[in-house]
Amino acid sequence: MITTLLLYILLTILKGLLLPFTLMDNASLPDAFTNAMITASTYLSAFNDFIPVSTLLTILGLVLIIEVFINGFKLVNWAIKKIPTIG
Amino acid sequence: MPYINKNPNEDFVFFLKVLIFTLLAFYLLFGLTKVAFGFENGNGLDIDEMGYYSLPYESSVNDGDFVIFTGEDSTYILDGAPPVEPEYYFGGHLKGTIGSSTAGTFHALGSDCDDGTCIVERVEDDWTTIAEGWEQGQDFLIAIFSWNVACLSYFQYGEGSCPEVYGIYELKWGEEGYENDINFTEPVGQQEGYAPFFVDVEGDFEIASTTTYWTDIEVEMTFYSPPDYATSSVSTKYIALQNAQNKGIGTFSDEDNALYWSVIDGTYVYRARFIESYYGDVATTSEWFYNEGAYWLFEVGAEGGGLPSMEDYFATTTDFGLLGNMFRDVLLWLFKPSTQVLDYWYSIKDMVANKPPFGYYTLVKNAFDELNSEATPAFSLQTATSTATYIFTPLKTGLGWIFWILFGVWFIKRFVHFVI
Repeated sequence: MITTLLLYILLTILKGLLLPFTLMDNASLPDAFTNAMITASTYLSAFNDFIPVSTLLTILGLVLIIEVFINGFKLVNWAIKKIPTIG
Repeated sequence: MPYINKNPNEDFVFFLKVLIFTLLAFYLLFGLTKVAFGFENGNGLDIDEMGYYSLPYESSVNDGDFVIFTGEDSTYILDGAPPVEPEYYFGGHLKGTIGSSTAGTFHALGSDCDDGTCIVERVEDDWTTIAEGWEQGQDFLIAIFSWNVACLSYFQYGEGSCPEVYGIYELKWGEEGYENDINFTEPVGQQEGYAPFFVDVEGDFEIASTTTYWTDIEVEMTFYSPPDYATSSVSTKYIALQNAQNKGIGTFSDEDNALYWSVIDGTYVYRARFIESYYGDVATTSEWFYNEGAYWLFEVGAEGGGLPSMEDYFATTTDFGLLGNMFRDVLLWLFKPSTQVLDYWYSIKDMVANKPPFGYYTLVKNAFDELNSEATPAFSLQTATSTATYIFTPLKTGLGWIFWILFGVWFIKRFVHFVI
């Protein structure tokens, strides 16, 4: 009852905030972007017998995740410090 | 200490520099090798210079199309392709994708096509037979090439390359935008004593156009009791479709009353698939369909007693006594969110999932998923087997270790310099 009511209020507010996004067209990437990835794969796989491409891609993914985490953390910290009496 | 003031990103830049340098070195090495020794992939025929169709089509389909051919012959088109005399152009189909396909029938297109321009018809491509059992979305290829066994090997197994002129249409069988699908309605159970147990099995389905006439829906229920217990019991229910169907939507409904388990507290997992059967013998089956969230728990009912109530996340079947149970029920009523509000949450997620900027996350992620080492290579770098075994494979393993060590060094330095 209480949780349901709170969730309804919270979600109605959220729905109101997200309403402008629903008026936009669906997101789409240029075909060239997807094609570039597919083409890049065909070139990368050609080197796979000589270079550990899958290892490189895994490491690249980990680096990206770590960087996103660190920068996200800094962003949240920066936002918190902007709040009077807390920062 | 000046080291403390060092920009932590410098390590990342250093790592990238090493990475780029290594890749550039390999690129130059193999690029020069390619120029020096002339390693070549096939001379791909421009896709605009070929065409193919069979009934009901009366002009060429396009690369990447969803199609359903029903004809018994095929028309191959070449328009300004390179002449191949004295060899012949061959045309045919393969089931699957490049590098993972099974060759079907191939025809010599005849001397009319030697100059690279022709429209020829070839019989004995009966698509009702060729595509028997193919499901919606089945990948297949139409290939035209100057005959060479190496090309077939490349198309089928991805081995080497096609050293001749060739062109390929990568097609999908079926109708675009349609998929086979089965959805189950949340099961409703009824207990008459401890056993047997009756469960209503119902839901809806969609069958995309296919040459297979499905006759049944097979619903399989795997029952884990108690919850998460490793040993499971499986009950299978065949529900006959009213008429054999190869396209359309509909509903199915039946009851399974053969569930005998001594303990009824457990978890059900449902899955279903389409069946094509003749007089009870299964001929063809589709892939399994799983319903997300089709997991549910039963409360042990009193002997001889009515409908068991469905439990969810935090509710238990523990008996706390009269007052305890009342207290538990009040807590549940107060704090347990209703299923409607949870559905409401999902509706909000679905509302913006495909809209900018949220939709870009999935799109970019899917695009990056395409970046892998398993794709069909754009060209082939060839070495002697012994060279690959004794030099490049150990080198590759060593490089893998070096990359991981570099990553480890970067990781440690990244967090040494991390300032909150």
